[in-house]
Amino acid sequence: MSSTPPIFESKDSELAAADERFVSLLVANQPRVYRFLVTLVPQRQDVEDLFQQTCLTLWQSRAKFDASAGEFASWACGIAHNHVRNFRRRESTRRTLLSEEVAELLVATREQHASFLDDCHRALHRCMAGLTTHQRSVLEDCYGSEGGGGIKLAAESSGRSANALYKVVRHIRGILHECIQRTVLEGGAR
Amino acid sequence: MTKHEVDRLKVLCEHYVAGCLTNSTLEELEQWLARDETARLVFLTYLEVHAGLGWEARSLGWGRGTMPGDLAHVAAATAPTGAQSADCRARVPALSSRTPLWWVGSLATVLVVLIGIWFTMRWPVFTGESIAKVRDVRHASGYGGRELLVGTELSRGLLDLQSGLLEIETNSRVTLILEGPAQMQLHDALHATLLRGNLVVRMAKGESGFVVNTPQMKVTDLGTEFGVSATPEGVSRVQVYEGKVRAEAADAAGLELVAGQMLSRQAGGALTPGTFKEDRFIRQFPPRRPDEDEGGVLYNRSHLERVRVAALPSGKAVVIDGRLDEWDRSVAFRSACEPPFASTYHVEGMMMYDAANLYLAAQVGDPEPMRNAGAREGMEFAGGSVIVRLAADRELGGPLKGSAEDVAMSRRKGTAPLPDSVSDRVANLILWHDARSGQARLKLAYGFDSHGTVIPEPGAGWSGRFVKDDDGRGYTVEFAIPWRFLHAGQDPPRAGDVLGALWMVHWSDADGILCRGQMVDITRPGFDREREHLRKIPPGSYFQFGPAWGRAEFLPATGR
Repeated sequence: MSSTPPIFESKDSELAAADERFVSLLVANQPRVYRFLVTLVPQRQDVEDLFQQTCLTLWQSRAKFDASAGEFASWACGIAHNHVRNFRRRESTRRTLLSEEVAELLVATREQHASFLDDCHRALHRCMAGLTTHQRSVLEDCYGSEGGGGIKLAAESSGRSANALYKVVRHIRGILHECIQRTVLEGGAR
Repeated sequence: MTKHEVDRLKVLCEHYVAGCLTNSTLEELEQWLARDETARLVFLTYLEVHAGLGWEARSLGWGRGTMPGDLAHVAAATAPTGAQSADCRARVPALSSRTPLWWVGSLATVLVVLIGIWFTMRWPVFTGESIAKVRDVRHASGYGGRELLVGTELSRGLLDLQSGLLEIETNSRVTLILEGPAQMQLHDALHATLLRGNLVVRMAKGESGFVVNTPQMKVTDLGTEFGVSATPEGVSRVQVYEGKVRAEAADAAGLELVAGQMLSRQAGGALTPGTFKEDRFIRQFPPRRPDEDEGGVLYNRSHLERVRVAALPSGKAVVIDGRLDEWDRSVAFRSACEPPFASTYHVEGMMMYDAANLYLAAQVGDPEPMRNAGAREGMEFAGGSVIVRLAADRELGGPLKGSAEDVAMSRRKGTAPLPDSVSDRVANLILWHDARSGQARLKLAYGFDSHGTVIPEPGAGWSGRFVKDDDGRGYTVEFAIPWRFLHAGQDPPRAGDVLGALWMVHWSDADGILCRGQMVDITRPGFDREREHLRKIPPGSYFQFGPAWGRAEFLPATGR
């Protein structure tokens, strides 16, 4: 699905300028909203749906955004959080969802340490550059496989077992996790 | 956080992103995240990797679809079971029991607040040394139903195995097969103390030197394979399968044993040769059936404090036929394992009495009913059983104070134990169906020292019957046990008595050998608060701890 919210042409140039600023903010903060959602809802398809809903709500609510009242990311994540709450109510029987109480604590911790976590995210880019071609190829195959198959599909298309491929992906995730820790420690993420 | 804790949290993260958390691991993760900010931050940083890669994939056009973490996808995420799907078990890393409760010894390790370290530009320093690793598991659960899965790194500490089978390999290449219920203190790669349960030790070829202490003896391996057991009755046994061992006791002469020999020792007794029984210990994991599913951890949270004991109306008799037609069902209590097993593994228990007998009945939900085939000495309960504990002595009052702990302490100090610790009228009644003979069996032991253990033959004054449910998903058990078996024949309980009591049910694997899980109920709420600064008593050991027992209220006759 596309990550870009619908943008309508405005007849009013002032409004158009405001919309443009809003879109800039939205695009700049999309990764943070997306990461926020992944924290609370681990399944990709759910995240995609919630991300689309959030972007749509943000766009529809753009007139309510008051830049003087706080930063865009907090406002956007607040709306994303509301969508997660609704999702949780709809999917209350799912046992892989964290409870509301724990989710609230994670949100608070994320908010409190937003700068630190942003550093981690920035560090990830650097760390990915350090992966071998093969490792990066594996990630692209697995994270990018279509049809909801993930590793399973990537395994089928590569002729490897899903089990073996999963271990490789887990290993790479471990490498990246250690790398972002080290990078942030050394101040290299800024 | 210790290194083990961080490693475990990362594994939980992997299960989370894979959609492979079970009820118990989800609960564990939630409890951890709820109480520990450092854990939340580790969790969030780990999720940053997963989220960041997902974002890269969608924004750089790697494609669309499921993240690699989404192994089980929606099907597993919504599955109405606490168990992992086959996909999950195959691919997510193994998960251990909760570290803080297992690894008491590592509590002294350094706790580092991640964000504080970040501010000071230092990364956490983790401590804790792995000395062994879990190699295989079967129906293994730890304290409070914690799952124990393959790959867990173990450090020095207490291993509390509530049920199932666990294979561990130490850093010295020693293989340990621990059968639950068991408690084992792992000291280092060559030294363990078995407090309760069955343990098989297998050394690598050409190596020796592993030492197992039990409450009654010390066993030193001299290049071999051997089994060691420690029972609640205070009996320790060693049996040699290959090579030889040396068995010693503080106040008894040491002996060397070779393959085919067995020794046992009771508290204060001598090392006594006994009969070697090949099947006394489980040396190999039973082969898995092609369709076998571990099915998650069976355990319950006790929610009942009392059971009412109905008086049998005068002139009426109970026919022990497993039909329960004569029973006053108004006194029935129901208990069940935690979801998603509540509808499959449950019990409806009842008690009645008259001047002559204690009557026990239960309808047990059990998909593998009446398969108890092991009946191994000291492990009769493991293949499926109902156990009732009753302090048939109104003078003891309540709550009970005695315990196995008190017995051990008094032995060490040479002081007198509490009266109920060694009372003949504190009875353990173990009821099971022997699948080999097709007969109901009864085992009795007394006091918290489990003295006087006896398995009276059928027809020796008691009667019992097991009947399988028509649908094969459970059984009914009915027993009449004369009060004299509880040493209360001269003064049986009467209306108005409130006596200490506890119920347990054990479920087995399909072979009727291995303990698959257990239920413990009729317990006294809040008893553990009285032990705030002491080690928690796991539910599987409540029976050894009087203050944990609930109560049985003996009702007056109603004349129905």
